[in-house]
Amino acid sequence: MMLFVLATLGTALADDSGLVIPYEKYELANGLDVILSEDHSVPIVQVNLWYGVGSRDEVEGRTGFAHLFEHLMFNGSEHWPGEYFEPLQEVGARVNGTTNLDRTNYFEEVPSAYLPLALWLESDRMGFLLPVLDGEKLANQQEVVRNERRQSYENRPYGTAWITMLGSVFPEGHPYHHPTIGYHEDIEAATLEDVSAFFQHWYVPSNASLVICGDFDPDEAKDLVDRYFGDLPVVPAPERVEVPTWKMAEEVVVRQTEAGVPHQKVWLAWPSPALHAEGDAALDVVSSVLSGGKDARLQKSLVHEKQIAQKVSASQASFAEGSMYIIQATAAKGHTTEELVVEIDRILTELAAEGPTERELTDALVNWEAGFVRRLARVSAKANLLNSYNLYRGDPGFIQDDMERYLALTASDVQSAVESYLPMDGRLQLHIHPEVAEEVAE
Amino acid sequence: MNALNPPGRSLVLPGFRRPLRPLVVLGAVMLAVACAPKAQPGPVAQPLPPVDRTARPQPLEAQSFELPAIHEGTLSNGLRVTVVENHELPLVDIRLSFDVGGWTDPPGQEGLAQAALDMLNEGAGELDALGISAALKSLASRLNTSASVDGSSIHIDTLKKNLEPTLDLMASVLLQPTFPENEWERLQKQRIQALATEKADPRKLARQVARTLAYGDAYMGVQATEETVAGITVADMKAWVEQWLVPGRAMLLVGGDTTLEEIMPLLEARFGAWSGETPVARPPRPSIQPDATVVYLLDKPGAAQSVLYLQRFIGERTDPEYPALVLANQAWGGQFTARLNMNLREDKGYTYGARSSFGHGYAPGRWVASASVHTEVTRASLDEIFRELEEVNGERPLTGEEIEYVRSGLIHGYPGRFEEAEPLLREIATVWRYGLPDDWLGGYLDRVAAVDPAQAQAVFSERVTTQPLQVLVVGDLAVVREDIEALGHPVVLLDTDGKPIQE
Repeated sequence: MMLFVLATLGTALADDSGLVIPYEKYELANGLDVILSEDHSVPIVQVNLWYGVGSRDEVEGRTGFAHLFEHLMFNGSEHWPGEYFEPLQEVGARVNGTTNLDRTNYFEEVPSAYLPLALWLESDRMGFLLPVLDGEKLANQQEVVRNERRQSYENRPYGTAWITMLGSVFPEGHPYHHPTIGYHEDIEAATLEDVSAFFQHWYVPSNASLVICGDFDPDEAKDLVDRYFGDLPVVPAPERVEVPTWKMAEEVVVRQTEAGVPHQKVWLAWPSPALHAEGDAALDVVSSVLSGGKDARLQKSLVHEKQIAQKVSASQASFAEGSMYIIQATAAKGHTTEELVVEIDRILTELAAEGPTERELTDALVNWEAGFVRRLARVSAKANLLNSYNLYRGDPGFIQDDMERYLALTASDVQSAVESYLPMDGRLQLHIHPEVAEEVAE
Repeated sequence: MNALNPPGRSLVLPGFRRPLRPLVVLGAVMLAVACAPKAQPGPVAQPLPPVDRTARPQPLEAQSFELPAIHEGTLSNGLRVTVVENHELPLVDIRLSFDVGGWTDPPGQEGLAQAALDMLNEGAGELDALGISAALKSLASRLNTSASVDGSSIHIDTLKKNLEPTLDLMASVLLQPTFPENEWERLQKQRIQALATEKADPRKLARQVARTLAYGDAYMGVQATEETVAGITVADMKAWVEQWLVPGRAMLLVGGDTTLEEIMPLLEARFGAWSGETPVARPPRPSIQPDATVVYLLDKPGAAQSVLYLQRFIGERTDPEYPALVLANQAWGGQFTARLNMNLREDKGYTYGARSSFGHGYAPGRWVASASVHTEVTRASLDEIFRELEEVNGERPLTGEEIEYVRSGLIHGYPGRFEEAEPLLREIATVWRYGLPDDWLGGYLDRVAAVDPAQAQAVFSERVTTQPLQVLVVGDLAVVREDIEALGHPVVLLDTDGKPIQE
């Protein structure tokens, strides 16, 4: 017969030495942060570079620009004017870049012998991008990005919900109001002058953080970093706009119809505490209590017992200056999104009043703890964590403290997070229904 | 903590599978990139002169790589166990993999295998669906059951300290499933609604319809539908599990922080007495080879993009020409820098990305080129794809340089695929499931290294670019149809089940 040992906290690891990603951090004279983290298990090394610029730094009329710019970083620089991918795919590298509201990152994971190649290329586009950038490349990537928007948002069911949520939860003028992908007309409007100005302002060593993670010799790596990045210009780090703390003063209900979608779907979205701010970890635990497994409150009620939803999930989308808490649910056939909202609200009210049970809290915490362990399996994930902690905390070694944020939570922290941050009179309800009205039975 | 320490190199014990030769030994075949002289690391105290940015830097000394050792055992019921150790983190990952899946679905009951697997963790032993979920949660463990057309699996992923109770749950789900009627009633509705959701997504729809075009009425082409899922009963599932989920059609794949010695008694205690007669059936090997290029159109009014698929079968995976086709395809459309993407994306801006690939199941390899393109350049995109195909046969054959380039990428990128145990275990399961030769894994790089570039060009031209293709366009036909018909190929309109519509 099965025997279940009740989980105990803080013991996910085989020993008690805590959760650590080893690293060494230093700064070049030009302000570039350098973080080295060895892991010799496989002969690969990841070069991972984060710039402190995201779509929140865009100006009016140029939404989508940070991301468009990221694309242009792959079209060559002065000493390698060809496609960025070309010398890297030749050595079997994994290469990409991503942009979000807060930052832009680039990585190449190469066989360890090719660390110099990766550093040569990254430093060249940090220092020497503009001489080979022309209108043709810009025009081409404007089209590519508009096709990315069509493929990832417009040509998929409910695909524009994220864009609507940002636009409704954050007010006009708020840096998070517009989506990272941008609006078509703004992507089209970008000029070469915009590209130069953006590059000179944001893509400076003092606004970047370089992680080298994997199989390398630290002395050799430091020498290479000095040589490739040391002579890049000394420019003060750019100031970023202040992002005000935002709460919605009322409930906003948006109803949309969409051709071709088969089911009614609803999103409830709240502005919520920023990444690492008080309430952020508690809301992650709220998500576990609401939708972490079939027996979690929302799933149990909406999907299993009442069977009014096909699917439901809750999550805190954390961003550096303010987050968004999202509950989304797809109606079961014959049921409406209005019914779903009533039941979700009943469950939120209950959780706000009573808080989680001891069991719910413990289960959530052991799972968050295990999640930290699982994140350490690949050098790519470790490199991103180090850079994320460095950019948002100034401390690449924040992982143990990050986990402590969760392990220290009490039932009343979780309860008050629901009460304070998920009010019914300060949120968005977004309903997307099929264009042809569905017949509702019963 | 132990994440700091590199795992010890596994010993390769006699009788176990031969490891790959270290990459450095292969240097002879990749002289262009890996045999460059070792750059001398400069002393740190003495800064070197400014770097010469005009020259691509030389690589450092290549590090050797060996596939992790593969340890094998057998339970008393004959169930094969394979272990790949990785002691970096205190995690263990175990997959019970079957070579049976949707291909066993009886006609009219498409979706049965998937339903059966879905239902395994909806009730087992004394636990109901919520009870299983709660038990897993308290252990911070995951247990997933799933089926594809070719295979099925029961998979756990657990902290080492919770290995035994998680294994208990895994065994219970396999050996004591209860198939509660009420859970199936609920899941059945969800499954039917999920089918509708998939059809609403143009890219998922295109993927499924392309399969239907390629495999026709044979198992790979037939989809579960509302009707077939509605007809499946709990009794059908029980019978299916009884018949097919037997040790003779399974293997256990273990990865992570354990050893063969440690895991064998734990597995024997839970799975050693599991029994069942092994059915001998093998899946059919369906394929429809077009004898003329035909364009299939599926309407998505108002679609922002057209989803394009071009396809045909190109041969068996065990065909001696397989490595040559891998290289040629990689150069033509298999990666970012391949001809297809460089043309459609980086030159024309028609798409966010275009790729070609070939996939193998039990059926012969299907070559597929695909892209989502802006609606207004649908015809122009097809023209460019056809042009790229044609030029390979004549004015612009794949060059030796292009083949060497992709060869280098495949060989150099190989070690990075095995950072965790799971990808290697998946490859081992593939070799077992499809009956590939014993040296499939160990000989992969040698086979890639041995391809003659001219031969790669010739075989790709012979099997793909000179041959008729099935072309599928899922998009706004009011806008794109006329231009596509002007191509001059026969045109067939399809419904969302992939069936021709009579106009």
